[in-house]
Amino acid sequence: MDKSIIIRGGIRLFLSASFLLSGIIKVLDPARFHLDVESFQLLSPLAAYLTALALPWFEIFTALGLWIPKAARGSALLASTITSVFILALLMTQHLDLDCGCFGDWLIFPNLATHIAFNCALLASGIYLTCRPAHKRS
Amino acid sequence: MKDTLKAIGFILTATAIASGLTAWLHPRAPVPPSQAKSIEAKEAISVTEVRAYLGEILWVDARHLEDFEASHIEGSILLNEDHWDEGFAQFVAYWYPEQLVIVYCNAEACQASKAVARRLRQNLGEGQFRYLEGGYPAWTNQ
Repeated sequence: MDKSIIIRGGIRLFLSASFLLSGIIKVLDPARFHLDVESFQLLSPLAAYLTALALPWFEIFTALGLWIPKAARGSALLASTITSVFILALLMTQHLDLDCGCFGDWLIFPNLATHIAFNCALLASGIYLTCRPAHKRS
Repeated sequence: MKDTLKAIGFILTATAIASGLTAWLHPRAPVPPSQAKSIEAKEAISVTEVRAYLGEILWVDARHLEDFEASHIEGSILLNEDHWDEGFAQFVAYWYPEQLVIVYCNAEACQASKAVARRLRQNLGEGQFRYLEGGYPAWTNQ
């Protein structure tokens, strides 16, 4: 099997599993996620409320879209965009001691550096899949 | 390009519909900003009110373990969302329903005390679960 197909599949699996798990955990308890969004102190109350409602579903649909050939590039582009915004938010709030609520109690990052490193890996995956969404047969 | 835009449009539309249904039907839907202020006012308790309160108080420290170990309000139980299960078992051993429970965290802006107070209310029903306005610094400064 072509090595690039395996690599692309692995990257797609990593990105979609991260988004799907993160979205499902948040969607189970949007009220708790709302408090996590508020703790960033970056958004107005209305924007924080809408983010708490929308972001979990956005993550779930984006994760699913990565597996639909015609939607893969658009989904990867959205995943990259939202991850970039989130990295920016983390950098802007690094003075605060925050739990982003990304993965509930399942995964709590020990420090900001590992959290940003994880998100950079997601961003790199998203960019890769945006540029090369599917295997092109020669 | 056309497929990409279509996919983005579809994901955003599906997100909007699912978000609307969540706000409408989800039992743990977040409180809209228009109602949040009045609920928060009922949940909050000031240091002055606490000092004037004559009944028994069960203090809950929602900060991280390091902060708790450095200093805390006397008699506090450590209960935060990072180690909920251990802390909750300890809390239940001390708690009885008529008791006033006050949760505090690091500062005015921290959300941990609100989250813990709400989660306690959710798990144990309508006890007296409040969070301390201004958090631990407000208590030590007065």
